[in-house]
Parts: sequence; C-alpha cells; structure tokens
Amino acid sequence: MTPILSPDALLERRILPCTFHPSEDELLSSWLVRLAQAHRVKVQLFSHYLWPQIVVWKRDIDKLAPPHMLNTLVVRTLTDPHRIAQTMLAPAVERLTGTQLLHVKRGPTSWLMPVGIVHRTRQGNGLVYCPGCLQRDGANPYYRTSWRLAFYVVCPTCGVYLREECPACGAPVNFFRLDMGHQNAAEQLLSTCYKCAFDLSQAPMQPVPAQELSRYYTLYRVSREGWKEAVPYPHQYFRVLRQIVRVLSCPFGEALRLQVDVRLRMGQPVTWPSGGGAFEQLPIARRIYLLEQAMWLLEDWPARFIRVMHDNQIKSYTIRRDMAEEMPFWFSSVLVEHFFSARNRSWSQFEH
Amino acid sequence: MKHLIEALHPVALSDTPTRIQFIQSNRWIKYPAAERILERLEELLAHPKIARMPNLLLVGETNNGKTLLLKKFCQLHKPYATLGDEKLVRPVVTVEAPPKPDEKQFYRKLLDQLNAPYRQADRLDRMERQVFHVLQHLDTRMLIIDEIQNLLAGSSTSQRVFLNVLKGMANELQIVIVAAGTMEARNAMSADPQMANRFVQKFLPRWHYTEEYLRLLASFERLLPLREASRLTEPALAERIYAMSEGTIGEISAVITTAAVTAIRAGKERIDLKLLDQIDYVLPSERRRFQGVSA
Repeated sequence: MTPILSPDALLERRILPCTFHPSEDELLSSWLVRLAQAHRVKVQLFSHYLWPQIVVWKRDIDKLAPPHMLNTLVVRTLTDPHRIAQTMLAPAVERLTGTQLLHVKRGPTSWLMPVGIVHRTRQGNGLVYCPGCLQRDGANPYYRTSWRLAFYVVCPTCGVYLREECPACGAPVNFFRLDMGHQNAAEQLLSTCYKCAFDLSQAPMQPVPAQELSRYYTLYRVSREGWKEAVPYPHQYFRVLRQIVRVLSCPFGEALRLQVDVRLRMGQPVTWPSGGGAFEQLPIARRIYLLEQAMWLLEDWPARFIRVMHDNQIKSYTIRRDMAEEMPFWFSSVLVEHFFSARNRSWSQFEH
Repeated sequence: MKHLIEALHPVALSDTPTRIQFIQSNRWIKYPAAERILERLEELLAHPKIARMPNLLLVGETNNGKTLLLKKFCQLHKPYATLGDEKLVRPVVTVEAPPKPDEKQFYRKLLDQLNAPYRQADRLDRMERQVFHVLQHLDTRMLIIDEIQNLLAGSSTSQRVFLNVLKGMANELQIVIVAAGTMEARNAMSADPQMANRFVQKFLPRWHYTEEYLRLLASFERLLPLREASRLTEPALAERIYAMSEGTIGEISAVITTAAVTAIRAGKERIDLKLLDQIDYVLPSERRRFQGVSA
C-alpha cells in the first residue's frame, strides 16, 4: 500500500489534479490516454506537458519506457512505482524469455507483438482486444498488458477469441489517436475505433470450444507460475513452445508433414491461414492455428511428442534447427534420447 | 531567558546566522482581528452547498497582514489524498488576481496553481470548462483570490466581465470565493452592484495604540531569539515602534525584525530606544511620498 503522503509533499511534487491509478493489468499507454482525458486535454499535449524533451508516441512505451518517463509519473501521480512498472510489458516478457529486456534493445522481442510504428501511427495489429472485457469496463474501457503478448489469443474471462482489428473498417487499434481532429478530447471512449468510430466493444465475439479453452487456461497458468515442479519457470516452457510454433509455421518439408499430421490427429480440418514471418507478426488466425497444434504436441509429455515425431520420421535437426535460445533440459533430454542419430554429431550442443 | 517561549531557547543560544535567518523568516502571530477572520473563513469553508454561496471580501491596508492571514488559512487546509482510491483533494485553492482583469490570464494562473496541463492558445470557453472540471474533481470548496484590486487596471467593461466570471464560478461550482485586496478593492468590486451585494466585506483594521497592540508586541518579543528581555511593551518603546510603523502589522513586524537583526549584529541582546534610532528605517508615509503618492 502507498504510504500516506504529507500535504507538503503533495504540493512539492506538483501532483496532477485529476490523477487515478491504472486499472487491473492496464497498459501504460492506455493509462496515459485516460489520464489526459481526465484532465480534458489532448493526448499529445498531455505527454508534451509531462515530457517536453521526448516524442512519447513515436516509440513503444509499453514495451519499456525510458526511466525518466516513469520517474515523472512516480512524482506527479499518487500511484506507487511498483504499480507503474507493472503497466509495462518488460516484466512479463522477461518472465517468458528468461532474459532481461534492456532499454537499448530495439527490434523484435520474443512473445511481444510489434505495433508497427510509422511516425506517430501504429500500422501493425500488435494490440488485440476482447470486446467482452471492453464492454464490461463500462464507462472506462482500457487496454490490458496481456493483449500485446503473442500467445494471448483468447480471453480467459469471456471465453472468446480476441480480435485484432476493427470489424467495420479493418484498422488496427490506435486509441492514442482518438482525439485527432476532434474538438473535445475527453468524449471518446478508448474502445472507439480511431478511424471509423466503431465501438470495438460491440464487435462480434466468437466463443472458444471448451477443450481449446482448457488448453489456453493451462498455457496462461504456465505463463504466470511455470509448467510443473520440474519446469518451475515460465521461460523454460515458452522457449520450447516458441520453437515448436516456428517449426510448425514452416510451409515445406518435414515441418509441413508434421503440421498436417498433427491437425488430422487433433480432428481438425487442415487449413492454411495466410501470413508468414515471425510468430509475433502473424495474423491472429494463424497464431491460433499454430498455438493449438504446439500446445497439443506438448501435452502428455513426452509420450505424444515421441509418437508423432516417430510416425512422421521427423529428425531432431528439424526440431532444434535455428533455435535462438538455450534449450531447456526437459526438452533436450527427450531429443537426445529419442531422435538423435549419433553418427558424426557432437554431443556438446545438448550438454547445457 | 524567561521572556522567550521555551521552544526558542535552543535557537536563542545558536550562532548569529541561524538566529538572523530565524528572525527574518515569516512567522504567524495570533491577534484577535485575524482570529476573528480565520473563524469566519472556517465557517465559510464548512458552509453547505447552496444556490447562492456566501462570499467574502477581505479589505485591509497594504502591508497589514492580509496575505499572511490567507496563507495561514491555507496551511490549515492543505491538500490531501483520500484513503480508499487515493484521489487528490484540495479544499482551498489560492490564486493571485492577474495584473489586469483578463479572464484567460486568470484561468491560466489558476490551472498553473492546480498543476494541470492546459493549452496556452485554448479558446476561453474550453479553458473555462477545464477549470471547472478540475476544481470539481479536486473537491475544492473555497477559492481565494488575492490582490483583487488589480481589477482596477482595466476598463470598467473588462472589470464587469471579470466579476461575471467570478459570479459564474461561484454559481456553477457552488464554491465560496474569498477576494482580498487593499481599500481600492472595494471600488473594484463595486463595479457590479450585484457583486458588491454578494461579497460581505471584512476589514483588517489599522492598529491603534491600545491594549491589543501591546499584547501584539509582547507576542513578538516572545518569538524573537534575543538572549535578554527588551520589554517592548514599555510605553517609550511601544510608542516609538507605533510611530515608526504607522499602525500596520507588516510595518510593526519590519521595525522589530530590523531592530532585532541590528541588535544581534551589534552584539547587543535586546532592543532599546537607542537601537531603534540607529536602524535604517524610512517611515511608510515617507516612502509613499517619495514615490509621488500622497499618503
């Protein structure tokens, strides 16, 4: 709990008059836009007032904001620093990758969807939303940190698939541009599409089948507390998951064979949603398609995995190819034991 | 050191710069007229919200303690954060009137005072809406406007417009407006008969050589970290200080402070008549005459 501030400290810190805490799991950018609205000023003016030296909306502040930006918020709001740090994605991404996200790091980050910043707009679908949650927020809809993570494709609360664009005009979410061209800054709810003013909370919702939903529940639990006793950290599971979705997304050779077989075994039609590239940049339909297969493969570990790999004659090389991060022991030990053909291969790469 | 309040004993024993700094810093000294006004302000602050809120015009001569009195009141009602949702509350907001009756400048000053972001070039109506919104959000119950005589530095039309702004604020936000200024402030407020009617006038009178004045001197003495008693209340000293200050509390304080600092610098530990002669002090009326303003 925040310590009670003395009145002199309140005056000295020049606390913003209409300040409030971020909502549960709220993104920094969403909180800033709502703060600007609460002060009846436009977002650009509000951010220029607090940080005159930097252009706030030209960067991905949700990923990792510069420290002085956060310091200003610590001083000028009543929210404690710990809570403010939680509005950024860095802690969540660090949990999933096991590596520290540095401020200087640019470029792709595992599990974090890029928003496609072009000048001061976002042209990628890097932020998804749940119409049900936006509806439930009532008068104060806001965007959640989890909606920037690539594996968050369903809403565990509403049991529906998340959406990545406006159903009316297909524009990505750009809530910080809502006040552009409008006289009154505070009237637009954050759930409004910035381009066509469609209310995103009214977007059609597609329920997730019960069996799939339970898979996602497990996945989200793993992202918070690790898989099981032997794999206690989320990144030990997520590194493998990312590698498997990468292998499955390969549209030729052994990987394609594996993908078709998994789909058939899951009892689902083999379709091929469009989109290629890094998992974080794929359209949501394709991410769902790949995630469901990968989660299914890792279930009943390692029996199902071994059986499917053997049946399809998949080599260990296909699985571990181009794996950027260190392979966790629970995974490498199965690969070594069941798929490794010893001839002319070095063991040292598995001995982590 | 019986002439001092106990808390000041360590200060009186400290080194010269510390003592001088202590003497020169602003201190609040209780006196009945100020206490009565503070009580009235308390009543106003607690006033329930009604359609026609009572307002107050505090009038006093220049350097007669108006601003210090208002500051004292603000210190008693500082901003705080509510416990549950930690919302900022500022029951009393003080702002100085702009140098001329200009509403936009007034709103800007007010928004600056409230630490709110705003657009310099915003239209007047939008700025007004923002001010109203922020004051409502802060749960402000009293707005104090000091130096209200600045209104006079404008045409009669702009004076009336400015007063209408204040009226609008009082009506819409249902807050108490306290204006403070010199005697000319009364003329400024009378630009609009309706406003003159709404603002109850309270005077902070000039001091006379009475029992109350002597009590004030005694209070001053108890708060000056001199090591010996000066006995300021003795007729010779009291009359002399009265004559030098010409009866305003700011001047009384200035005379005593200057004398005390001179005493400490000279290695004396008390104020006496000789010291009062020595200090470099120009009578307020002389100062005004020097500036070409008749007293």
